[in-house]
Amino acid sequence: MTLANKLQEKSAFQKSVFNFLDSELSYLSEYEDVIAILLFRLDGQVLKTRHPEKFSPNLLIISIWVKNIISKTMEELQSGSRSIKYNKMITESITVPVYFYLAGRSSILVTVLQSKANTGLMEIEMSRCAKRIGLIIDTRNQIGG
Amino acid sequence: MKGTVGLKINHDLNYSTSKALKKASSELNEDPNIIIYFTGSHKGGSKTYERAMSIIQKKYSEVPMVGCSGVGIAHHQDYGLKGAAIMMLSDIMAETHIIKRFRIINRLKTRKTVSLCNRIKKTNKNLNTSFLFFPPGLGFPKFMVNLLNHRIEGFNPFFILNNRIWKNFPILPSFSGKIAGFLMDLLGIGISYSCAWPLFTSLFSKNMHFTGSFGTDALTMNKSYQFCNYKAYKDSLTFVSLGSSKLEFINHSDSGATPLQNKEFQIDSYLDGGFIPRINGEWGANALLKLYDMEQTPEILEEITQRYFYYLPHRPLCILDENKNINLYGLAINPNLKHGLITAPNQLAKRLRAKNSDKLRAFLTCQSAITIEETLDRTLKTLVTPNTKFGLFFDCANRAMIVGDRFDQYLSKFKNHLGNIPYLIVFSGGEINSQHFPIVNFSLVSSLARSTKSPQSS
Repeated sequence: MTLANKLQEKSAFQKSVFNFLDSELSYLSEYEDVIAILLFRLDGQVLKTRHPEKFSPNLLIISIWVKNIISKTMEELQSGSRSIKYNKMITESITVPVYFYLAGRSSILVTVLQSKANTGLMEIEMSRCAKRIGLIIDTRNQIGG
Repeated sequence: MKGTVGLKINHDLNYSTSKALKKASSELNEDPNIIIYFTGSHKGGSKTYERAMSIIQKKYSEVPMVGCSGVGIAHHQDYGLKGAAIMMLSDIMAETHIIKRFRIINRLKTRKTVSLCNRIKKTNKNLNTSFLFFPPGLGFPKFMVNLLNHRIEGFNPFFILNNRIWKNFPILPSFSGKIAGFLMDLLGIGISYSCAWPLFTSLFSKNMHFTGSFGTDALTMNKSYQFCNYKAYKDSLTFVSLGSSKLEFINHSDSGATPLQNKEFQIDSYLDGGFIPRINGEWGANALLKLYDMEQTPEILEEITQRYFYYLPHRPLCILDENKNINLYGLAINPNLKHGLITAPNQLAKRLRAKNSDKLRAFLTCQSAITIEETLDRTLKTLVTPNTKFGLFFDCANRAMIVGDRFDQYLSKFKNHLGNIPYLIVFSGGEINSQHFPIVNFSLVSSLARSTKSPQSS
């Protein structure tokens, strides 16, 4: 096999890995209770996002807040916590649950839910999604990319 | 006897059904005798389900099919709230039945079902027989869901029918419960335990072997569907009789709840379906917190109401039997008052109330992820033997919520004990079991089939 073929194969594989990642995020974002999903690398860089087309000011407030605390949650998640939940108060009447999950060895999945979401059931889906995204990202890191 | 399973998690029910079908049929290599089909809850009503079932029908038009939609599905490799799961069984006698409008013409249909079951049992005289039931599930109209879920502030019209309001009037309580039950059955809303109670108590008294589940969609509280021979129904009862001389059917239920003996609770009033008009920290919230010794931590109430759809707290109640050792029934606490609210059939609630004074006592119980996992471990250790052929598990959606993000770990227990044995787990809103009580809540009902021959001799 020539070097060009190998590179082509590698890039096709990387593409398919990214497709898997997209489909996992799409699956979670299709729930009505999910407002936005943010996938962070451990160094704080945003890898992927899913949010409504109309990016509301409230969501912007949450995103900035998440960016500010991501390193703190990272430490906590790496020390063994399964997930971290915050109730982020946006205005006096609006408080939304925000969940942080460790996804694989190098990323954090952040999910912003509707204020009256059924968090009990959504936790099941969020933990599943974090696990699967973790597997995809770890695989991608192994092959490089 | 051979069984295979296929499961695919996806919002697109057609896609997940075809994938699950492909997986299950590729492993079977022969035509099945029965297809058991479970789905998560999907938008679009019966047409969505029937379109998905037509994919199976194209391949197996002659094979009977039964099942229901539920909160979620799981097997050894995956789990989720949306998607399809298929179990195919061969070399087993299976007969599917549909009792249409079971919820509405309740008495007549109950008699019909009981006589049908008797006939099947007589016909299968030389066979071990087990029934799988899928009665009308739980469902509320959207406006009521919004009220229950405090998305809209307001007054739940069904609250007026709660006996608690009328308890000081001597005649009204007996009517209000009946009116509530009648209206709920007529409109096909609420929890349908009451309409199914006479059927299951009757079968229970005849020592029939049965399990099953009430479907539900806990995310939206839309109506769940019952499936029979590639059609989807809303207020009907579907069931299958499984018969085999080579198999014995085992069932078991446990809740994983530990009674807190120092937290005795008063069983006082009930309402079928357990409606709560409002939970927003206003009505009776302090009473609930006091009960939990959490008066100083009001954020717990917010967590409780957010985590569980409308009223279920972390610690459900239980009623112990006369020997004070078997958890007969789970209760939910009504945060409005300091009283237990039985999410049970009216018939049962009445009986429990009558016997409550000296024979039955209610306690707060602790049902945590840890207690659930520990009990599951013990149960599967006892139930699963080398000659187990397949397993169906009907798990309460509330238990799934309690397990929460430990779900992966919880499911790995099934995998560890069952190994290569085909099994499916369905998350539902009420479980049916003929072991020691016909309808249970907050529980896991395990239905397993074992070969009557030991693995060595076969």
